[in-house]
Amino acid sequence: MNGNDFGEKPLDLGCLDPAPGDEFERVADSLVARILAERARRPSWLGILVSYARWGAAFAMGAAVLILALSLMGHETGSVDIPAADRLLSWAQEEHDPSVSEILELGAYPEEEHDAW
Amino acid sequence: MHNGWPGCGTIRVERSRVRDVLTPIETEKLVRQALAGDAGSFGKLVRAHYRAAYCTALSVVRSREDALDVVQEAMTDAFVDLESCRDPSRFSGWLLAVVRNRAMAYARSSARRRRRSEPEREDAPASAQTGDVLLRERLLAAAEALPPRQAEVLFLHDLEGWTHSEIAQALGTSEVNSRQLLFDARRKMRARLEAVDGKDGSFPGKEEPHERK
Repeated sequence: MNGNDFGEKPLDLGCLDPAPGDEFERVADSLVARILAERARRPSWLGILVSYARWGAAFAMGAAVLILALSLMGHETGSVDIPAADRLLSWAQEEHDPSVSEILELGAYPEEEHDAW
Repeated sequence: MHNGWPGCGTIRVERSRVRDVLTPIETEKLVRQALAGDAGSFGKLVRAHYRAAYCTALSVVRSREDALDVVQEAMTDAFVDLESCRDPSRFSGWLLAVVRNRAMAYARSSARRRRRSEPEREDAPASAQTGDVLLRERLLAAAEALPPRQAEVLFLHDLEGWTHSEIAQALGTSEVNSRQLLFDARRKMRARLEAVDGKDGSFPGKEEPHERK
């Protein structure tokens, strides 16, 4: 320690000492014991991580099984909606263009498409 | 002026004898060992930083008992959560910052408490206070004139015995600034102490009035 900063002597602040003499060891020992006890009680990051990883794996597995089951059920019972042959436009089955009467007969064109014409 | 109050000089010699001085490299090594689970490293780090932490807390709360409470709590929290010290080479500065923040929070809450309980509070009679306590209070009263930064540098240097290099590294300032802060702090302290001594005509904590020349 440089006691002659700007040519000045240091102030004697020994009376403010937090733990004079042997008291320091006692205070330090109790503080260290408290710290170590608190650290021992604290759950480790690794433990928390492993716990979260376990739960995450369980949920992922459950979700995968559910999706697989649903997809299998859909495959067995589900069917693609194929339009029946009688619902096709009559003129679409032939090689000629639709006549006006056929077009008017359908009447299924949306309004906006009429306007577009 | 160098105050020649009794008792202070002997404590100072004793303290510097027991002080555990660690270089920054040793500190970093100990922090890494502590993080790896070495209990002995915790002990060395606590011993090396306890007084410095107290100096920092004292510079904020300005009461020995409050500073001791703050140091206990802040050091426990800091060491329990040592993993949050990202740069072990700057451990000292990190620890003092933790202590400083805790001390500021403590000072704010105790100021609120004091305002609330002001009417019921009764000071202990002066006769019940020992000379050491009076002496300490006189010093702390003089230190009231110092901003926290100046007080921290003063305590770390003149009470704990840190070098300007250590102070500059821990407080994140330059050595020149540390010297300037110390110079200003000493000047203010001496002026305050001389004013108080001149008013009372005696030093506190003495059986007989101190004759000044």
